[in-house]
Amino acid sequence: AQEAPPGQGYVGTQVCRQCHAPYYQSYIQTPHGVKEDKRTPEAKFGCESCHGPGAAHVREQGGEVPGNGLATPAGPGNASIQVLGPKSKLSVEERNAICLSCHETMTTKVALWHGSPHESRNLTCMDCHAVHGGHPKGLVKPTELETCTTCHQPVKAEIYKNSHHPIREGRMECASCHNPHGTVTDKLIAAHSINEKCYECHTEKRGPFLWEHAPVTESCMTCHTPHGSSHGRLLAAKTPFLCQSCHSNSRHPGTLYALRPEQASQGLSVFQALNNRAFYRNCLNCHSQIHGSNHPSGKSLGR
Amino acid sequence: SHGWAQQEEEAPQEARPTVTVQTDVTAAAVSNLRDSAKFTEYRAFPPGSWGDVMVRYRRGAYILEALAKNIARDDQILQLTSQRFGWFKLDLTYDKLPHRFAFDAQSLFSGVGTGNLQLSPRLQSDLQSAVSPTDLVGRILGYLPGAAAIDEALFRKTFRADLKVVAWDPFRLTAETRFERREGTRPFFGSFGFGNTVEIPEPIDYDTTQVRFVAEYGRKPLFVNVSYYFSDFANNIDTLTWANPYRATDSTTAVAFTQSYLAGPATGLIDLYPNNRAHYFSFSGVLMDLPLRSRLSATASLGRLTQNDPLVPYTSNRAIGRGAPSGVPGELVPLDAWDKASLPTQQVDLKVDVTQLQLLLTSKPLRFARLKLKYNFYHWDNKSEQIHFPGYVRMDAVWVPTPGANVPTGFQNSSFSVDVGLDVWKSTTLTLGYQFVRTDRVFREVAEQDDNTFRFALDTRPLSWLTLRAAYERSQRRGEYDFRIPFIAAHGGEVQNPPQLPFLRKYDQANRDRDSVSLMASVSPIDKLHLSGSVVYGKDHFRDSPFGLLNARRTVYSVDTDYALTEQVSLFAFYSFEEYKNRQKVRQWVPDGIGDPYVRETGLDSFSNWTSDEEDKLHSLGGGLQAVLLKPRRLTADVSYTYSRSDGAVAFASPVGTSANDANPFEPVGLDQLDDVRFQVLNARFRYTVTRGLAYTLGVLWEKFRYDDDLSTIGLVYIPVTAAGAFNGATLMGTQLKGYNVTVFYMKVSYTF
Repeated sequence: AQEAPPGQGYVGTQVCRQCHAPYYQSYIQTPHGVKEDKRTPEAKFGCESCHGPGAAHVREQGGEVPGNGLATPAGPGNASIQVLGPKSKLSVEERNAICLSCHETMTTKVALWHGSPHESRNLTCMDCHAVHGGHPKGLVKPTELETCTTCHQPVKAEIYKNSHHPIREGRMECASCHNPHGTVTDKLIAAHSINEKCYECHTEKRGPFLWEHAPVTESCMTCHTPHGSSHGRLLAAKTPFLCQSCHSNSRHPGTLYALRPEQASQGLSVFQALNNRAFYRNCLNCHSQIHGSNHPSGKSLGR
Repeated sequence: SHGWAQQEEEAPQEARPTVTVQTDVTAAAVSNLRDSAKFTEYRAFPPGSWGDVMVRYRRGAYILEALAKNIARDDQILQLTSQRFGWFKLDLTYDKLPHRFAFDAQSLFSGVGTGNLQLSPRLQSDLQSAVSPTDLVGRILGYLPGAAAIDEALFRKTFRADLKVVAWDPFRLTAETRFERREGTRPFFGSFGFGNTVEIPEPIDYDTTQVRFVAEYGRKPLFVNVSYYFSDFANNIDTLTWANPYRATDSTTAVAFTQSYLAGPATGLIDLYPNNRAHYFSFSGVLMDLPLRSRLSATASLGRLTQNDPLVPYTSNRAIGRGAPSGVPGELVPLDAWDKASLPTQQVDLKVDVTQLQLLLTSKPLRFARLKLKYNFYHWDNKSEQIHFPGYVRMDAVWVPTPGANVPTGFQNSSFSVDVGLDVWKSTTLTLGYQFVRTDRVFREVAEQDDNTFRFALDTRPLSWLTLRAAYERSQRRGEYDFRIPFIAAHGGEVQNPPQLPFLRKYDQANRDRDSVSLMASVSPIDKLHLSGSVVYGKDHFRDSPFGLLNARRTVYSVDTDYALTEQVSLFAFYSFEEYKNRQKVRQWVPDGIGDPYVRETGLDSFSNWTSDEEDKLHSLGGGLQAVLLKPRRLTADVSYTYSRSDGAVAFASPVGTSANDANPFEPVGLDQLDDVRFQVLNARFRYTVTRGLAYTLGVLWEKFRYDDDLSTIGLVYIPVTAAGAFNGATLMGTQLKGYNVTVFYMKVSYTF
């Protein structure tokens, strides 16, 4: 850290280190501790960049002094040292302001924090991040999934479902689709719409197609549930019932593919009674181009 | 755990250069690996050995790091990072990710992986000469033992190069490029009609190129971001032609699509996903430090999606030529449908313009009050041309002389919301919000739709060890539903009785009342114990839908705990229960027949109506421990177990009548096993650290997966046609989901120098 400015209550990192060696060691290992990067706390006032001037704290031989927050730069005579963890006496807004004083102009990822759902629900940066030697990305838990599912508990179960994105295999993370710091899209999707995010990996389904399946262009979520599903291909419900929710056209779309009386009288099981419109992929056995078709004869999405 | 610096960026401790090398070598024995492709769906676990290597060079603020993970496996990652803190960061990455669908699928086709799947002409001729459905079954069964075993999987191979320059802070530049190859096959279906659908391996040979350039400026009170994004998708296999097992020669009749071996094409033709491109220009800016502690952010984006692939002909069936019989008695085919020259245009010219705009004002005019105003606009403006076709070929089997055009649907969302947050007590915030969304659609049933949402949330942290969160949201979506709109768009205003049940309301547009509640409590009574629980409830009620999805409910209960018993032992456990319930109502009908809503049964009641009640119940639980068993050598254990179970079922109901007045008689026998899964995972790892640089890990991974589904009997290769049901034919490959019981024993040696 740079030499402490005289008369402003700063004591310098080396003084902090004498009593708080483990915290110093964990901090200096992180990007915050890179003195050569002029954006970092270490290039400014070290520990006191975030915790405030420490002279009063030292003079009183430690212990937290109730302070007035660090939303504004500490001035001469400010006798406070700021604890930012769960036992902090600062408000959520004051604690976040300390991080945001650097980070909100540092990257697009954080620029939309104000007004985001997590900001509105009173989360602090430290609810998810551990500045002193956390896990990758400074998270409080080893993975994004573990961190996010601390609150979003249903998702933890969803990734163990039969159909899932490769999240539990560690090949996708929550931030592959979401930006928890704020986005322009609902559900903190890191794109201008849900579909635009899906199309980043599923580019073939982007189209436009000669024959559109109209709900597809509005939202992939009309039929799919991305965190996990007991039904194949991340479908929100079992086919053919999912398809039949919208397609009660004349002839076969409205057929109930169940056991018919003459089949029951023959002693057939439900499975034996099925035909190729109910078996396996059901409707998709024929309508296989369900996301859209470019074939002149593909109006029913079968070519 | 390891410091986050080691993953993202590494801080220099010393000015002198240092080199660190970390190596892991793992040897594994795997049992029953090929029980099912599900075990290795997104990963590779080859019996034998593999390695991981990381080499890091560091001098001052500069780091050069090379990482090779899962070397030589099908899921390997190679990464090279060059970084100088405060100056730049360059990442080069190669990432291979499998997506496996089936081991040992059975295929009668040759040419797997290409766009031309062929059968032996002898097989086709033999099956075409069948004299009855029973005869056909007997003949095809004779060929099945000769089917080749193939594995179906696709692989994503992604190359990424990302450069971020921060040397001119507060100006920053980012360039991201990504090239991805996807190759392999996946299960797919091609149908020749109601009597004959064939499971085939779809060839995957995709190239995707994506580029993003970002320029940023950030210094209070202003943050600005300008970006350009380009994405190009290229399918290297444009079309898929596959042989019809039942037919050696092309033919057509008015009902060829129902006749399996009696008539139809010798091959089918599908146009695979077409090439497409997307461009987006985006701007976002934030103006901070405005009066009343306000800030204003704005985001705008203009995008264009295009697709102009050449068209394929109506069919590959050369019997469907000028003068051949069509699907309508007395009408003949007016053109050579197999000839591309017969098309009204040779290639499409499809285009969508996307406009997005958002304005967000946040303010804190009073110490205890926050205000958020948000306006959002999103326009998917489909400018694609409408192409008018004189008819089409159904399943490559028969010409249908129904003129029609493609329907380029589009939509536009405009929303406005206001949220007020009040700090009603210490660390307690009450948020009240309202949102209005108007959706305008082109060529869909609901042209204009309003959605009003009211919400409130209460978040409190009254004590440092207690957090409580509650939220409630209610929305009402309303719009005028006109089911004729898409038909008129496709066929003009001449459609009198569109072949759609007029009472049906598609659930993505239907009037809807939505309620959702979420409650969450998190308690840490002592530093080392954390308990949390949550309840989530959601209900969609489609109040004005006589038919279609009537309501959908979701309830989730979750509890979660972790406890650090001692400094050496920590435990965790979780349990979750989910329940999903859907109810829908459908009618089976044919024009002029029983149940016809225009002629025979014009009211809501009909013997041909039926309802289904679908239900899914899921339990997930897990637990584990991490322990230091031996010091100072540090023998550590990491053991976890999870069990998840899903039970799906559907019950049917209908006013069952006689065959004379019920088009849809059925026995009230529901389906009790719909995507039922039992899944267990046991993972145990023991790590023994010999020296500071040397460690051994011994581990076992056991997974057991069981799948039961009434609609998908495992291992079935062929559904025979029957005399009573000539529409049931299907030639399958046996790619249905299968269970497995796999155990992996592994040993890893880790060495750092």
